[in-house]
Amino acid sequence: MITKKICIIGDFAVGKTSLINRFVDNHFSEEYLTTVGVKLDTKELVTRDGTEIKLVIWDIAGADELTTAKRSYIDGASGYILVYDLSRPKTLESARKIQASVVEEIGLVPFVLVGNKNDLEITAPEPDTDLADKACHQLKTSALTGDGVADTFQALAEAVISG
Amino acid sequence: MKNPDQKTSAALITDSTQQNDSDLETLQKLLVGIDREQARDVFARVQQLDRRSDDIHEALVDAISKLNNNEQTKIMEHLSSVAASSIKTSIRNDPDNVTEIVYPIMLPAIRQAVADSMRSALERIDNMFTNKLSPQSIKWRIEAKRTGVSYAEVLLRNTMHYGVEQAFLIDRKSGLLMQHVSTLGSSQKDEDAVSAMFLAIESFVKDSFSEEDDALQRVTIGERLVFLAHGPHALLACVVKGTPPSDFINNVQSTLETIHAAEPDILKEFSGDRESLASINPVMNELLELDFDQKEEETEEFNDKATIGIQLLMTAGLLLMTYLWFQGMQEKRVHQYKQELNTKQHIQVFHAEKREGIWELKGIIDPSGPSPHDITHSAFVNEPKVTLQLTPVRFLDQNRSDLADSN
Repeated sequence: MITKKICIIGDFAVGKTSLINRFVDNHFSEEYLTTVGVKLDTKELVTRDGTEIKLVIWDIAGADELTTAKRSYIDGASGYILVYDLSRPKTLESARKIQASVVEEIGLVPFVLVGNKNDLEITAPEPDTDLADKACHQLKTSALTGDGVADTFQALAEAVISG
Repeated sequence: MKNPDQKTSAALITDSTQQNDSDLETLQKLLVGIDREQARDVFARVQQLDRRSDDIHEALVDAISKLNNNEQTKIMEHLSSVAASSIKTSIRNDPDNVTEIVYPIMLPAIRQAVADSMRSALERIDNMFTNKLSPQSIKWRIEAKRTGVSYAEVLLRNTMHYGVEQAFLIDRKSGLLMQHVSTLGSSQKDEDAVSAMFLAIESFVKDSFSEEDDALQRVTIGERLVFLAHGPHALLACVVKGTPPSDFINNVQSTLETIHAAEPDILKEFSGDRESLASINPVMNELLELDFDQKEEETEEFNDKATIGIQLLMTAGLLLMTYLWFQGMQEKRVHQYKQELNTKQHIQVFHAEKREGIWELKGIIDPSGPSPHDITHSAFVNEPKVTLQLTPVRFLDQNRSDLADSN
C-alpha cells in the first residue's frame, strides 16, 4: 500500500472538518485544530487501476490566507483539497489567495477545488477560469448530506497516483 | 672606392627584394588574411599565461556544469585528497580562520551537548537523593559492597527501568511514516496519523518557541518519553516507558545514522511505499531490544548464580575447617596419649605417626608391667584408630626418666 499526504485547506468555517468527518476512518480530537492548528486523519482507498492508497489527511485550521506557521504543514503534500463556501462569495477569493501561497510553498501539485454547502442557497459565483483550470477536478459538495464528498477524495487520490 | 654602377645595382636588388616582400605580404593578406590574424591571436593566447588561465577557467566552469552524476563522483574522488590536504594546510597556517568558520556551527552543538549533560546529571542527583535513605537504598549499598562496584552505579542500574515500546521513522518533509516497529498489540492508534502528528507538533513547537535550527528532542507524556533524533531526511521517534540512561538518545541518533547510511536515496525521495524500506526493519527492531529490564534480569540471574556459588564455597570452607580442626584435635589427643604412656615406668613411646588414617605409636615396653591397653587416655575418643607397636624389652635400669625426657 502506498501512503500519501494530502491537505485540506480553505477559509474559516467553509466545512473542511465536516467534509473529513463524513469520510475518514480514524481521526484525532478536533481540539488539535485550535491548539496545534492541524488535525490528522487517515483514509484507505482503492483507485480505478487497483492501487491501494492510504491518504494521510492534514486538516489545516481555516484562514483567509496561509500563515508562515501553516505553510510548514503543507510541505511534502502530494495534493490538496481547496474548499470554499458556496453560500459565502468571499471564501472563493480566499481560496484563490491560498492556492497561490501553496504554489509558492510546494510548487504545482494536483488539487481538487470544492464548493461546499451546496445544500444551502448558492450565492458564490462560479470560479474564474484561471483557478478552475489549475484544479484537476472541480466539485460541489455537501458535508451535511454527504453529496460529492467521497467523489472529492477519490478524485484527488486518482490524481495523486497518476502523478 | 666602390663603383657607382655597382652601388646602383645593389640598391636595385634591395628595392626589388623589398618589393617582393611587400607583394608576398599583400598576397598572404589576400589569401589567408583572416586566418593569419586568428593564428596570431591563438599564438598570443597560448604564449600569455594570464590569457591561458582565463580560457581554462571558462572551459572548466562549463565542463563542470555539464558533468553527469558518475563524472561528478569521479571528480570528487580525485579532488578529495587535494581538498583535504589544502584544508589541513590552511588550518595549520591560520587556525583562527577556520575557527571563525566553524564557530557558528559548533557553538550551538556544544551548547546543546552541555545542556544535555547537565540535565542528565541533575536527573541522576535527584534520583540519588530520592533513594538515599530508603530500605531499598540500604539493600543497594550491600549489593555495591558485595559486587565491588560503586553505590552510584548500582543505584543508577536499579533506578533505570525502561523499555522501548515503539519506534517511528518519519519522513522529515511530509511526516509520512517510513517504517514502524512496536512491542504493543494492535490496540494502538493509527501509526500513520501518529507519525504525521509528531511532525506537526515539532513544526508547531519550532514555530512557536524556538529558532530555525532548534529541534524538538524530547517529549514527556505521563510515564512515557518520546525521544526524537533528527537526520537530513528522516526523524526517528522512540516512545519509551520508564527512565532510560542518559546516553539513550545517542543510541537512537546512532541508529538513525545507520539507517541514513543504508538507504540514502530512498529516504531522500520517499514515495510513500513502505516496502521499499523493508531492509531497515532489523535495524529498527534493535531499538526495541534497548531494554534495561532485560539486562537487569540477566544481572539478577548472574547475581543469583554468584550467590549460590559463594554459599557453596563458604560451606566447603566450613567443612574443610571442621575437618582440619578435628584432625588437629585428634593429633593433640594422640600426643597427650603418648605423654600419658611415657609417664609409665615400663613403657617408652618414641614415635607417633599417622598412616592411612591410623595413628601408629612405636616404642618399647617391659612385659613385666601392666598392659598398655589398660592405660586409656580419658579424652581420647577414637581409640580403634590408634595402634601400639611396642617392642618387649626388659628394662635393666628402672630409673629411665632421662630416656623419657629425650622424647
